[in-house]
Amino acid sequence: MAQQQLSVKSKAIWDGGTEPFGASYGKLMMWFFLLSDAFTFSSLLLAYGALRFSAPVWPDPDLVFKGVPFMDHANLPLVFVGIMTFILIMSSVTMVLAVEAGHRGAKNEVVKWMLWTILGGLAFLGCQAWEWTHLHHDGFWWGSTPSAEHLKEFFAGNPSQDYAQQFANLFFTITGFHGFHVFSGVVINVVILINTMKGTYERRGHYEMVEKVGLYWHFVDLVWVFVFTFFYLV
Amino acid sequence: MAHSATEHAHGHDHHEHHDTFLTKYVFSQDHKMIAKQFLITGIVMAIVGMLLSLIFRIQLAYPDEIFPWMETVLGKWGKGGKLDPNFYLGLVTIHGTIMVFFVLTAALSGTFSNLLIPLQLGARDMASPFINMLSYWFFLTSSVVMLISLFVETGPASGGWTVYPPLSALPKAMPGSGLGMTLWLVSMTLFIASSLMGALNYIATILNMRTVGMKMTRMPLTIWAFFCTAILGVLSFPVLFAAAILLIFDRSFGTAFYLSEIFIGNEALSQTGGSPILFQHLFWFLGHPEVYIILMPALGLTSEIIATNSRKPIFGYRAMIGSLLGISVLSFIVWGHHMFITGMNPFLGNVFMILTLVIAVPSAVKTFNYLATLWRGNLQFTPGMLFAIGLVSLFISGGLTGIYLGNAALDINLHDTYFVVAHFHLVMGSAAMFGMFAGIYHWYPRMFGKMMNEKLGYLHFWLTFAAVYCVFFPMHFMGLDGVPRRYYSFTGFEYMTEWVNMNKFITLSAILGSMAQLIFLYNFFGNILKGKRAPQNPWNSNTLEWTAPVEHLHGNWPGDIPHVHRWPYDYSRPEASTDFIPQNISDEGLEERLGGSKTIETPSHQEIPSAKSSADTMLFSRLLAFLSLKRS
Amino acid sequence: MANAEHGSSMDVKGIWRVFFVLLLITVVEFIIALAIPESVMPQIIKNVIYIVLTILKAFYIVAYFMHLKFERINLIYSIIVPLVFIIGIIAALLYESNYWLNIR
Ligand code: HEM
Ligand SMILES: [Cu+2]
Repeated sequence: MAQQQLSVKSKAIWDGGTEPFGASYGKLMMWFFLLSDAFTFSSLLLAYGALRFSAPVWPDPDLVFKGVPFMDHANLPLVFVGIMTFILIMSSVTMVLAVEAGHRGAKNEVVKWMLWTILGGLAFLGCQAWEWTHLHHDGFWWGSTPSAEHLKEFFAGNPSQDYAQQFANLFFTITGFHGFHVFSGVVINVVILINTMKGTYERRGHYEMVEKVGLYWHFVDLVWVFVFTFFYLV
Repeated sequence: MAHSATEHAHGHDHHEHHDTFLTKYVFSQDHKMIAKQFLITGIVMAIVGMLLSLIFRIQLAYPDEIFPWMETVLGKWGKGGKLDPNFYLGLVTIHGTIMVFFVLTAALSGTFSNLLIPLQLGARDMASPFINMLSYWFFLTSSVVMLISLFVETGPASGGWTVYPPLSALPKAMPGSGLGMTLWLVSMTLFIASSLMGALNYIATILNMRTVGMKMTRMPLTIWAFFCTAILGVLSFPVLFAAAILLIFDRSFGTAFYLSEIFIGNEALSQTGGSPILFQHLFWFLGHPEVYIILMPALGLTSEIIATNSRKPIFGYRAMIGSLLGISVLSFIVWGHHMFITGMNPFLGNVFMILTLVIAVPSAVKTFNYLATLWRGNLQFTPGMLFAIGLVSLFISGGLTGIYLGNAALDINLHDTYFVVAHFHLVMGSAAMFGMFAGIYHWYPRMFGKMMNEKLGYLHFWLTFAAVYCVFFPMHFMGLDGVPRRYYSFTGFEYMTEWVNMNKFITLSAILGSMAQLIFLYNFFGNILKGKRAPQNPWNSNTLEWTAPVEHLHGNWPGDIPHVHRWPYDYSRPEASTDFIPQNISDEGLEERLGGSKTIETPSHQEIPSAKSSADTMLFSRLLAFLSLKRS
Repeated sequence: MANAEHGSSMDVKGIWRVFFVLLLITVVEFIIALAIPESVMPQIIKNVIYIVLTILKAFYIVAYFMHLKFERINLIYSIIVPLVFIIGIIAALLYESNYWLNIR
């Protein structure tokens, strides 16, 4: 520890034989992987932005996303996605708590918070499944839109089959890709949970793996923040 | 520091396990073996790419002739001894894809980043040997998928290596748009995964695993080039990945991200509302950095080889680093120059034109620095050196035409003609290939512990050099005359018929050039087993890889990793007794050497003092060094 | 532990504080979306506010949850600076798509 602080303070961090970023290679690789993934998501959102910008009309999100489970014909725009956002942010919090417990080497707490995180991830995926079915019910899907008379309900102005289609395509593709990330995150979290319970990290003397998957998990949350804004609010 | 201590211990027991054939040659996690795997896979892919190009070159030279062997070799694609036009397009596409991605991206950085990053930085292996192995296996799988796509019923992808929609987005657009295109996308997805894993590893290794004393500004320029290349890869390939995802959805799920107002026959396609230009933006946001991903490793290898074989410090070390960084940054903001006349907003075209012309500055810095390093050097014309000089030549001839193409107004005439083909084959295709050859000749002793035959190397160089210029230089004139690229035959157009003879000349040169590669293959594969055993440091080079034992071992150095005391370009220093001072020699060590004893601390360096240190050459090189040091 | 010294900067209380900030920002977004009519605040202004708030949320997630704020400055720069390229392509494509609309 003392050694570490010394090397931080001295100017020699770039001289070789050190970790100039104060981060292990694994953490660096995770960070740069996330940077790369950020470019993937940005490109997808960018495609969405460009296609939406070049469209003369677009479905109104307040008219599309207004359903809530167990409340037939609810007209509550944003409420359900609000719940989803809350769930994902909560699971981010529990993940930080797991990381924090890992710093203290408190194995049981790590297990507890990882379990909550996994639960949050599953809940989010469940919500997304519901959201997809709901839209599918309305007639939106890859390559299909609601029938002409229904279409009016989703536009503030003139309805357009083509751009309703474009909206559906983009929505399912991008939220699908995000959902896939959440799903992989849950799987990785389960693996880490099992390793924690088996005591692998306890023997290793540090819980850096938890930190690394934590980074991934927060990134997924981060992407959702953008998806939420650009699909539901703007 | 419990943490890094365990990491170290982990690293060590990792190197002590016992090898079976499978873990040593197939699922190896040793960076030197992975480098060789990349190289040999790359050579195989390069041979395939070359053969494909010969077939379509023959078609271009003899459009009316019947070649019975075509039917024998190509089956239904060569019915009646004539090449099928659709297959011609497929050949061009797969040739481009293989050469750009599989040979010059993966095999070039895969080989030399893997070989040199740990060795030149003084690391025992890559940061994550396991991910490194995965990177190779993803690459191999994607190569196999790409090769399989040549054999599908409807032919391989045929829309050009840039796979523009709608040809790539509508499975029925042309024969190759079907299964062939699907396999292309599958292969590229695997390829992107491979290149991402490789690049993350290179970055982490360069940042974290340098030996004591290896400051960033003491790294050989090779490593700087690999570093910038890896960064470009991490930031640009994901954009292609996103573009490919959207393309897959357009193809298979009825979406219309890239499709707008398309008529098939007289019927309007129901998929509409997208934009094919969107794909081009995403593709070229990768595509332009990609060409530098290809070129920069070759430039890095060249820097090292030219400095070593000129027996001079590289001219402008920091300027070289600066220009690498400058090229990296600029390459992300010039992609629009590939789209001047595809219907992009003309104002944006202007912006891209100006930015494009700026990129000539760092490119020129590199060229001048090479020339200045060569200037009055004590040149050692090894085959590697010849290829490195060849790269500089090709980089200049090809780079100059880039400036013409970068002018939006000129590009209206030149776009999609043979002028573009000439430009990028000189500056990218041939120059990077020359860099790769230079690297192979220079580091072959390090890779295989054997020497290549010099005479054959010279023959290979001169034939290749002549062939490359004979093949690609005339294409400039064809392009200026308006001859378009990607045409199956030029007999249908009156004004192009005069170029048929030129096409014959080009094709014959290409065949000759391919023959020359046989010499290389013989030299390369023959000497792996039969070659003369390599000395410790055949080129009297300063970098650390030459201090490791000739016979490979896990962990690279027996005992401790050497520490680094100086930059890598201390050639012909007047105060030294030899004309080179390896990076691991400290100033005290230097005095010891001057004090008469020719042995240096560690036993593995015993062979370092070179045969060249006879008195008169020493004097000569010292004189030159003195002159050039004053100059820089 | 490489990161033990940072641990103190993100204790449990700090974590919950960040959570409430994120929650608050989201609530503000909801209020703007649901309670403020178009006539008071045109959509374009709302959009700008949304985007600013989103970036603010992103800042909190990256800085505190992902701990970037407490890493060395080198790491911070090498993650943040490359994002400039994304801004570049956003600018280019927004300009482009406007042009597509005009020629559609
Ligand atoms: C002085 C610097 C350079 C400038 C100004 C420049 C400019 C251009 C321009 C404007 C084009 C588009 C031509 C067209 O399609 O009409 C082009 C094409 C191309 N350039 Fe360069 N270039 C430069 C250097 C390079 C380098 C160093 C490489 C590779 C290592 C390269 C590889 C390519 C490739 C592969 C294409 C053609 C892509 C295709 O359409 O298939 N260029 N260049
Ligand atoms: Cu370019």
